[in-house]
Amino acid sequence: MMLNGKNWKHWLLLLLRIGFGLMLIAASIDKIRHPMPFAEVVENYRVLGEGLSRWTAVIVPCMELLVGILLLIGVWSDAAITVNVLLMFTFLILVLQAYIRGLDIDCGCFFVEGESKIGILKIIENTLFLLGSIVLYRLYSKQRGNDGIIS
Amino acid sequence: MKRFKRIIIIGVVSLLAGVLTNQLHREGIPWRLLALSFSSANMNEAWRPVSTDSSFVHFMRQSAVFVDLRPQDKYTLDHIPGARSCPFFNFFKNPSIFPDDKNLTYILYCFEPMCKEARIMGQQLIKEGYTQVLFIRNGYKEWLEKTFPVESGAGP
Repeated sequence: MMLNGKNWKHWLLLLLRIGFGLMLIAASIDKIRHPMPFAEVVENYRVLGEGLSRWTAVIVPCMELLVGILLLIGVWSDAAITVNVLLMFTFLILVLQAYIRGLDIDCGCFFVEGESKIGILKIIENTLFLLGSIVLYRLYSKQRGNDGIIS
Repeated sequence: MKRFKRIIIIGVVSLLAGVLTNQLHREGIPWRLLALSFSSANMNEAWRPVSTDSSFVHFMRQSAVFVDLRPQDKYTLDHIPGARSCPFFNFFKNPSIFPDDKNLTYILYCFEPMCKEARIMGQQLIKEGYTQVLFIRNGYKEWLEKTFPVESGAGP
């Protein structure tokens, strides 16, 4: 079967949506299972302070899970794709600032304990995730015939 | 606007689901600690991890009671000077073995970093009304690596 331009974009959109959906669900599970250690991971980034780190550890994993499920089943995709971009952007900023400040901490991106440290590879990984999420957003917006952040 | 409303709903549902999941979780963050996040007493009254260096400062100032959660035989071999022995499983069989002054600062430790035992016990103690329960984030292991003082014997 030949893939024309429209088909190619359609399949890429589907692939990215399912890929990000699965990734977010996978990333949320360990964090939901270990809220206190995850709060410590968040606190180690030294951005939010102790109290807000705990609330972040309570809310963000559930948000990842919810957005992951919405992306996977294709319901409320417009909102889920937008939140996905915001999440990826936030994660990149957090990793980047930790690297610039020279913090020797675990990423906590997928697993709470025993994950790789913050470094160039993590920055590249998070940059690719952000780019992927932007591509997904653009493809979806074009398919829906609008280009705005919030329509 | 439809998308914006949906984003708000995703945020609210995440908040509610997160709080509910956390409260149902056996090792969830105690509500008391979440509530303390909005209180100025937060920094002075909490259950939280501390670095080995901060623990050492407490040790030097004698501003905290160290509690060793390892089995009694390991405690007898070596422990932080002055630390009380309160093996994790013994505590859950008989909570009265833990010192009863709820206003002191306690620093719990086991050998490994981020040990589950210290977190579970800390959570339990906060529920029972202890005001400041800390635990050594990187465990007794790092205390030894930093060659901080230790002592042997059955202890107090």
